[in-house]
Amino acid sequence: MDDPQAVASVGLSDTTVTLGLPAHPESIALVRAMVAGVASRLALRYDAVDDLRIAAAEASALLLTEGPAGARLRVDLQPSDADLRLTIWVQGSDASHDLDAREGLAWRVIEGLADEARVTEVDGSPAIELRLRTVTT
Amino acid sequence: MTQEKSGDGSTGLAGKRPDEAEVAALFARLPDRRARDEIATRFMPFAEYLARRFAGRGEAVEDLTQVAHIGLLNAIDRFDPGREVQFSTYAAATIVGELKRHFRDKGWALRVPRRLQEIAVRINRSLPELTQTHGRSPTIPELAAYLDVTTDEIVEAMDAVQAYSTSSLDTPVGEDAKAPVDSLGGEDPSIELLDEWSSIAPAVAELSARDRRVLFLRFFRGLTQSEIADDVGVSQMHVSRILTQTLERLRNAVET
Repeated sequence: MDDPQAVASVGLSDTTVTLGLPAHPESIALVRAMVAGVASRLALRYDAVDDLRIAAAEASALLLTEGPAGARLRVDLQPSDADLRLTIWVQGSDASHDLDAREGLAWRVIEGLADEARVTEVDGSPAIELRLRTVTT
Repeated sequence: MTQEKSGDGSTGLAGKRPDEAEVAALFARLPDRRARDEIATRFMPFAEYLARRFAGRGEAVEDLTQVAHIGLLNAIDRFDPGREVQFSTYAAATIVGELKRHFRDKGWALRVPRRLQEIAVRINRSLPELTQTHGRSPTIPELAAYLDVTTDEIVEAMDAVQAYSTSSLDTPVGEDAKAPVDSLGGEDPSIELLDEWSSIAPAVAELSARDRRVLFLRFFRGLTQSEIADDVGVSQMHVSRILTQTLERLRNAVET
């Protein structure tokens, strides 16, 4: 499992891993663990993986502030040879959630720690997509 | 190991210090690996001497020695021979800093399995070297291959490092808030940081100077964790902990 190419060949690459958790702040630790678990199998820089965990936690925290009662926090992880993409959203949350403002500490952190961060939408709910590129050798 | 024989018999600190001129010559040969090893070997007794000064506080001497060795290697990698400070002085500050952090982060020994502690220590030790080899931070698969452990073990060790210090989140930053190189200059990030963040998180003002600097370098200068580690004089793992904990504190401050 040490060679990233070998990892890709066992099937994790280009497979979406989906996580569904209660929309509670307590779930953030599991998001962090899952991100690390998937990211560790790709050719991503060690410190960038750590950054991505922080960004994912921050994005989750940001989205959780406005989730409806009983909602689910969803995280899609899409590894590929080129990058790892994360899409985080709270299922059923309202699209009026003003993520577009992209202001404040949380955004500064998210944008600073991922290679790319953007606001998107999944089934009408606002989502945050993070991307971390693999290293090119 | 020649150092022990070449000592003049004194048992004090001075007897443990290798000749500065010879050491300077070795530094001039860096990044030659043999020169680095030679410096490390010469200063091992010095590191061990410092480790023993922290003995009898509930930590095994072997563990302290290991921590001191890490401090020594960090010192070698970060020392700038251009500065007007002797390496032994710089090394002492770095090693003692590492030992103090080890104690400040107590709870480690109780909660984290020894196997993971060892892996974490080995990661910490090999990061600067691998970063130099690759010209960037190594990937987790590269680290795993180098250390002959699984990628999962690396991740567990990463988590362990984060977990073992969460208890210190609310404790005021103490005497070693200043990293050894903090006092060696650099721009003061407080004003720029406060300008942008004060309205959002007044808690920024309550952070220690070092933690503010870590935030500043990461988010305003765009430095990587490894680069910040070099700048601030702590390990990359420690930068990771500072970032995680500081952001958590700021987030809590925003929410309340």
